[in-house]
Amino acid sequence: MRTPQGVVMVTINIGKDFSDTPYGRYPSDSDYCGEIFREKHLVPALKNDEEVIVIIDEAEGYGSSFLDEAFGGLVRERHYNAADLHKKLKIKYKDTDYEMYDTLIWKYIDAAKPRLPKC
Amino acid sequence: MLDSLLCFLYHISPALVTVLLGTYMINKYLMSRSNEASFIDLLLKELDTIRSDSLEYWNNSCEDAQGAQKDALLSQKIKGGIKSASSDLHYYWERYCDEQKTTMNNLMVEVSDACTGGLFESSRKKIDPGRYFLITNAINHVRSNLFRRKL
Repeated sequence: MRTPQGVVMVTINIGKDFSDTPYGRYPSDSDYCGEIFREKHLVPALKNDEEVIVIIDEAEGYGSSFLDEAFGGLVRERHYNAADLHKKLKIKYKDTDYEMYDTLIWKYIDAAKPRLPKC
Repeated sequence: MLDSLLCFLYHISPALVTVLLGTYMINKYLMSRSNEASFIDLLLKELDTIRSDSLEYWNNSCEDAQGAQKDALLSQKIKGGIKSASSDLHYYWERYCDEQKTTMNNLMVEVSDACTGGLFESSRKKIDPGRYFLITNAINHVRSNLFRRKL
């Protein structure tokens, strides 16, 4: 989808497109964990689109472990640059109760360090 | 007789109105403070529940079926408790505080990170007594901010 400014963008609604009760960090924890969300939704969207909007307020709630793996993992495992993510990734919510999760997502992105491949 | 009563009322009415208005305003202020204190008590109770559930969670082994079941129950309680406390704090800050809302948001981010970070909801989770300080410190930050408002 293109914005009126011609920017190619995609919207991911976690509650609708993934799960309304996402939890866990790794696939061994659940089918709706942070790693699966990152690999199946975030990474393809970031590869193909110029702007990725993630709607967070249709899921019931999040554990920090899910958010850290899904969003912090973009920098840690996929070596995305935090500054680029600030430009490309937009976190949206209408319910102000979700403000805390928005802050957490950016905290994890900004704090993550790229993991070096094992020799 | 009527004249003197009217004259008396004429002279006393400004003072009377002032006293009534003052009483009303003081009463309103005290009511507001009392409501705020009750609200703070409720928030403190919510935070205490999150703390005890989190400490139980991080000291519970999920290696056997019973432990895993307990973990699943506690993790739901913790996530729900944090969201509910965050929502209540949000309302409290909007209603009673002039300070920036970000203060409250940052405090709750700290709580969420401490209670549900690391290997939370993971089958690889190990008993982690070290989280005790992390959780207690994060919750105490919020508690002390609330106590300061109450006193």
